[in-house]
Amino acid sequence: MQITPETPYRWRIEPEGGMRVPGIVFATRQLLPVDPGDQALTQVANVATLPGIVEASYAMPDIHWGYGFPIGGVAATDADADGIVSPGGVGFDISCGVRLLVADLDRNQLAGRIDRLMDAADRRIPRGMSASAVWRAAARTDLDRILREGSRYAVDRGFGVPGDLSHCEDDGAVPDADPATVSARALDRGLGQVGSLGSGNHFWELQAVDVVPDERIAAAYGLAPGVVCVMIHCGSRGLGHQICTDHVGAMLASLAKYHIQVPDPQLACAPIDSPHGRAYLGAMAAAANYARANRQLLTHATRQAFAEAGVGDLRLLYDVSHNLAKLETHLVDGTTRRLCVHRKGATRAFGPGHPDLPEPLRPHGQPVLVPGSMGSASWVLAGVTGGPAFASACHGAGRVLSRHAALRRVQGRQLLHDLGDAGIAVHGSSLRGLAEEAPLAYKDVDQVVEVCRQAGLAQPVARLVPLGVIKG
Amino acid sequence: MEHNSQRGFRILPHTADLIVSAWAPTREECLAQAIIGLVASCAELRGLTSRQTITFRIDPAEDTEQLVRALDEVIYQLDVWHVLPQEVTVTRAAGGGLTVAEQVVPASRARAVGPVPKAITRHLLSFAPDGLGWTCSCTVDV
Repeated sequence: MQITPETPYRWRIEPEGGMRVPGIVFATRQLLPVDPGDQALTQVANVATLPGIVEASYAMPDIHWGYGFPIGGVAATDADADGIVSPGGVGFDISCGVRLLVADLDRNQLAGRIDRLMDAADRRIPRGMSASAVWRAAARTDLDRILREGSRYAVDRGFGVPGDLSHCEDDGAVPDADPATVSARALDRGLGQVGSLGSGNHFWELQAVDVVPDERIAAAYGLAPGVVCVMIHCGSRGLGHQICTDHVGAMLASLAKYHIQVPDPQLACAPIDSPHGRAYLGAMAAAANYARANRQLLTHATRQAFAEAGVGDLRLLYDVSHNLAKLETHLVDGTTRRLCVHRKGATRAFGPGHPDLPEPLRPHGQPVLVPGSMGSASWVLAGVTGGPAFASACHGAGRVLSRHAALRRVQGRQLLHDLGDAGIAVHGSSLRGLAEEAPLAYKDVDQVVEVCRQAGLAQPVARLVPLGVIKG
Repeated sequence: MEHNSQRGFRILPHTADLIVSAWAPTREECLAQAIIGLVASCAELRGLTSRQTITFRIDPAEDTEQLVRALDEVIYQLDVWHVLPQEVTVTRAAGGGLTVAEQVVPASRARAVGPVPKAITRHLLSFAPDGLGWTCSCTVDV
């Protein structure tokens, strides 16, 4: 497999073997995954073999090795020409995503009260192996409505405000969710986790705006240097993972029926317009709605913590998913086509004027939220007109070290001290978990964002720095 | 890692997640070691006393599929019943199935030592005899 540069920020894998389209990777040479054993580029090529794929198998600058699809992978299949849908193109954590809450105060006004705020949040954000969740009274009937109505139901039940819906992708709920395609095991796992952070790389982070490269858009978003924010990163928890497990298994068993061969079992797929395809899309939408409700419940807990600490209220800037397959309309070779756009570890990035954006944000483009590694910066970007890869951008920094490699280099206790010395309060469930998420395990998010800018994927708007973090 | 040449497990690296690899003289013991290894990747149970037994059955299927289902059940138990197996015995059931008997402890009493497992992928999945007995491997999404 040969990868060659088209520009310093765009690399091409020429079709060979079963590839139906080329692979296109947005990265600098330094960010390309070329370490021995990292098969992310091979995965880009494998995705290019999927039936119905159009234009290219894309990868964002935070690309790294995943299951089937690389993390940072974007691929669209033609919904009207036997295109497939693949759970591997969404990921196990369906609709894992990020939301950014903007507070009423700046970091100077918060000084002297951060510890009290962090303690209040620590008590209210369930995470790790904890059996707790914000919505402990959630019943089966509530769960059914969550799967159908997403964060809209949570807001209806008093866990938010109307602005939390208009500033969320899909106004809080992905259409066409079908809870009947969600297994009993997935429902069991989901019932007790409504409003919980999880573990791994999920987090709740108190932040302050650092610099604003684009003052015009930042002002429209309500961001200025010093403004306090909270970033929440989590997804559909056990329910989403079980749905992926269930439907990958079902699709693997049905590949022969649809005359499909895949180079990797995690690329198991089915035609979009088939019983297996429709079942997965219905279940995926249900999980996406669960993830939105999950982040909404954590927003409610955050507001309670802010109130307890006496530091005001927060509004939602935007909520984005970075693991989802969406039916969208895009121009391909001059023709408008209905595509199933898989974004796995990639974020939708609609440009200015897109009708799906809420009115206050529409003239400026969609906020794209890019968390960095723990203790490093995060970014807010904006979607741009004519963005490639079906209007997609990166979702984070991307791992460069395995958890084991990180553990060999970082002591959790030392990391705690180092972050504390940098003024960052860390509340985590295990020292090992912290070490595994150490900044050196990830790419430099500033470099990843710069590639997004140079490649025309999204425009940097504001850089945020951490003040405190809660991890599972 | 368990230091026993005949039976044991290892936790190996995989980018953002981890690989559980296990071995034992028999197929059933190997699967039991994989379960113990999965638990060891996220929790320390030493010093805890089990007061509850859970038994579940795995239907006949290919070896790798039975491995996925058994580990998936452990993840389900953690999410739904908030328990973790401390001791595991796997025996053959009639018709090619498996019976898994677990002595479990409350997860709330375990010491968290790593990220919570969320799913068993089919990436680098294997479960087969080798020259010394049986060995298996699976990648765990955390």
